[in-house]
Amino acid sequence: MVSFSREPFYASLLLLGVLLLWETLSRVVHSAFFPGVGEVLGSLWTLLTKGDMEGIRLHEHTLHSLLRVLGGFSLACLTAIPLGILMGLREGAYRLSKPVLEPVRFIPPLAWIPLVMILLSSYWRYLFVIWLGAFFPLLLSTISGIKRTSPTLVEVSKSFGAGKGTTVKKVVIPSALPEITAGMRVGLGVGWMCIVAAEMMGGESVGLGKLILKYSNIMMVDMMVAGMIAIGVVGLLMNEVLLRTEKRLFVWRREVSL
Amino acid sequence: MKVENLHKHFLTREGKLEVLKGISFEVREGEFVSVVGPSGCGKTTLLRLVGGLEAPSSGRITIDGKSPDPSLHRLGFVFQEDSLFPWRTVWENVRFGREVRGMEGEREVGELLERMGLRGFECCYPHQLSGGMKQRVAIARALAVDPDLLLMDEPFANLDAQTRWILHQDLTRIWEEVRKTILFVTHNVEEALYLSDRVLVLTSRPARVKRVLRVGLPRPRDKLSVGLVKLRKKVVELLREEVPYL
Repeated sequence: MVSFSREPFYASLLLLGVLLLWETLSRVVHSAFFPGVGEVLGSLWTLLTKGDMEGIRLHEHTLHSLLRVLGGFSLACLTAIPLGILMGLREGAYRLSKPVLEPVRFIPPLAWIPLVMILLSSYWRYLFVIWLGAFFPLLLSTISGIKRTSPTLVEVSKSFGAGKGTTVKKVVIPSALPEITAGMRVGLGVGWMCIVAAEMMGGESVGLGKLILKYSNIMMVDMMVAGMIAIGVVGLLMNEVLLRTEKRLFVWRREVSL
Repeated sequence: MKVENLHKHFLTREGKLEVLKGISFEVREGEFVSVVGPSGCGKTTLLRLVGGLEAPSSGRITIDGKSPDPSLHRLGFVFQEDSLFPWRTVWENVRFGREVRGMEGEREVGELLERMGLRGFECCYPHQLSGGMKQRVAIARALAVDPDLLLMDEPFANLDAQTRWILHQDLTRIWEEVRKTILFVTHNVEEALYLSDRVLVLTSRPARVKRVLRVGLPRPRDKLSVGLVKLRKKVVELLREEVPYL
């Protein structure tokens, strides 16, 4: 087993190895459409400093994409969490709603895009697609967390004479919180992944997804890959922030979450 | 607290499951009464009925003349399994009952923790505590609401023997200090005889009161004393009548 303190070292080694593999492959393939590490890093630098072909720089793209995702995500939280709590508390509510929810749940947000293009405009399109992506993981996690409340703990509350409302507030919700926040992380991740597709259909020229699209039109693969990396890094950072917050909030848990 | 001709049955897929049949007994204020009986005879059900967590099928239970109602009466329940709130510290756990009942005052919580030997652990979370400590917190939490009746359901069953013996002593000490009325369910005969004033021996399911024994020995008792061993023999003989293989 790898010792704890050596982990960053081995992780960097692995990363270096992957980069090396990539570079080697690109040299072997030797095509304009398979950029090497150096080219992509160079493109990344250009995007950071000078911006894309319209002069829009990386941080602007990132900001716009982030705002869109956070908008849709907040909407998802505001709708899915209260609904999940209500459905989790009421026996049979989830079962009843399954015929309606399940089919919709399995339509990928991306499949909604053509319809969304017709029915909605500009910012609403983004909001909807991202909301859709984040909504279901959040809803399901919330319901699951609520239903998983330990019956013993509920009994403890009842034995002190607590009413249903008090029990929900003091026992059920705190108990479900870890699962709800885990659902938030997943939902945010899905939402972020939807942003690319969502932006590919929008009219504005700002956005990380739009960036990739712009360069794909002129076949500049190194720029495209740079955009992809940017998306991955931002997604990673958001996940990390949420994870750290979770760890801090749930100091009372001793399990590890991904 | 009075139980009069109590009957309780549950409806299952196989039909009516009669658990308690015609149970009657009384517990006076400040008394420590244990209930022993064969496994599965309904001891826990009896406790839950007295605590108002379940309703009788027929018969009556009264606490100070009224039907048991957790919101009315101040009841302290100590469960056998892990019952602490994992997201609350020791202090916050003990405080829980008081919060629910709108009882102000942090001082009482501190005093109780001190009494239960939990000083220094106020800010710890349940996952950091041993089984014995967790049960101490559970007891403290039950006592924190200054209950009229303390109901304990095999609270030490999941602990190792040594921890159990220590907690027996601690519980006796605390009971002598606060003199609460306690109804204590256990399958451990020795434990019942060590702790209580009276022991109710139940039959196997459907259970009724087989015998009530008075433990007249002065406290603190010795589990190896002649008096206690004699009583123990008696109880085990009674139980053997119900469950021959004991």
